[in-house]
Amino acid sequence: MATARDIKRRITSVQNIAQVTRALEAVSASKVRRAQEAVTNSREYSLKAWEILINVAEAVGAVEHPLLEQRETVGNVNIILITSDRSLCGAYNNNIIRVAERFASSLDVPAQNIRWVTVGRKGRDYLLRSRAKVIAEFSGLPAAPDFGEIMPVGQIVVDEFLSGDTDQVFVAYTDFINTLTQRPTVVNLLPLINFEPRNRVQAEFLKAEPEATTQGLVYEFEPSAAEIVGEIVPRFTALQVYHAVLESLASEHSARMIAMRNASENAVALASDLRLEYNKARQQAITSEILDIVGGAAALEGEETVRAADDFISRVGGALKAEQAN
Amino acid sequence: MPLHVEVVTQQRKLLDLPDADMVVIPAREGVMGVLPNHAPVLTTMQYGELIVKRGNAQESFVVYGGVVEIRPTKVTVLADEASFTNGINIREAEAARDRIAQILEQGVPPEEQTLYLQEMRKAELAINVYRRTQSHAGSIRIISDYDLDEEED
Repeated sequence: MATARDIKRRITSVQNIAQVTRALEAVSASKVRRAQEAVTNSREYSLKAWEILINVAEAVGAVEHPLLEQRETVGNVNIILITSDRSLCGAYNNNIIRVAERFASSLDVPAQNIRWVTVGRKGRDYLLRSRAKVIAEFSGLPAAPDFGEIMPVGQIVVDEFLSGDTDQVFVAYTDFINTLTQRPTVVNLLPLINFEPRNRVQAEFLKAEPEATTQGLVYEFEPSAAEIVGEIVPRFTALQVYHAVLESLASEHSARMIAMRNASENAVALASDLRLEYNKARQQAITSEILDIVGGAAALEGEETVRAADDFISRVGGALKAEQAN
Repeated sequence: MPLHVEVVTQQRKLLDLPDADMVVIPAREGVMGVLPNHAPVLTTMQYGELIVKRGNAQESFVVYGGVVEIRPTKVTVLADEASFTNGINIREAEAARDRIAQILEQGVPPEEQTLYLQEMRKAELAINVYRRTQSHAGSIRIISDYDLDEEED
């Protein structure tokens, strides 16, 4: 059995941990609010832009734009994987990585043709460990990134797509539903046309695209359809990546907040269990010390004292048992 | 028949007005006044002032490019960047303009020049539009006082 001093040391360390997790929880709680706001605000634009794009495609039929072109054979596939830089956020990173991997293996291309772009250190580290092909990585992003800071991520895949290095691009990120729920999701980025899920795994993780709302309206385009598509499409691609990052950030902070809250609660419970154990160990130590002293005295002073000592021991023992029972 | 107007930027939704009478859009091909029952149009915007009118009140925005979808009963403005004209901090805008002018005078590498020139155009536009609205301030009612605080807590 551990000595009282060992237990005391563990109690201190558990209490220290509780202090740290409580601080982290408070930090995440304040970040979550800001991230949530950012995501709901940008969701609006994202949705509207998507709607307009689909309406254009619907209205014009075949709009010609390199980013809208569906290649006949898909050689390489890019996947942008958005994870966090730091851990201590529960299963957040595990969940999205697992979904991304399952999605990747559901595609009809060999694993070595999947080229990853990672945002966040955790995803990068994992993929490098599993020897996947990581062509670019972004980490150490600011806590509240603006559009310009995320643009390079989209730029890379657009360049890759235009140069023919890749024929299809997906983004794997975590959709923020609410503080308790975050859903790992995959969304089709390029080409910017509806991607039909081809099997159950894809259907499960792919995010559905909104439907056209033109209601048979015939648009006029000023200056021209091609120019408007040229304006919207590149922007929209970058925007979708930006939006995915915002969703992921909000999810990360919520996941961390919940994880840290649970950790604090567990630490408090553990500390009180340890406190009980510590008291028991302390009592036991006292008992055995008294026994030692009394035994020593008895050896020195003969029979009579022994009887008195026996008496004393039984009384002390009784009292201690009563106390322990409480 | 009223016109439903929405002004959205990447950062936030600036305006959602279900009963506007007219929208003035700085479209690529020139300024465009849109009344209810307009034919469906998709157009891009240049840098300029966007005005939403309702009765004798109006709301003015400075927009820096974007896309507009016009339908008979609804106008959706997706601005690349935009702000309320009376939310502009004129002192900051002027300071920004002067700072950029100073930097340009000292000379910048050619690849950065367009960036600075663009910022310059933005600052000048903001100042001009602000001045214009201020010059007849008081004679025009603002549709509503929206929460202009960018910074919470």
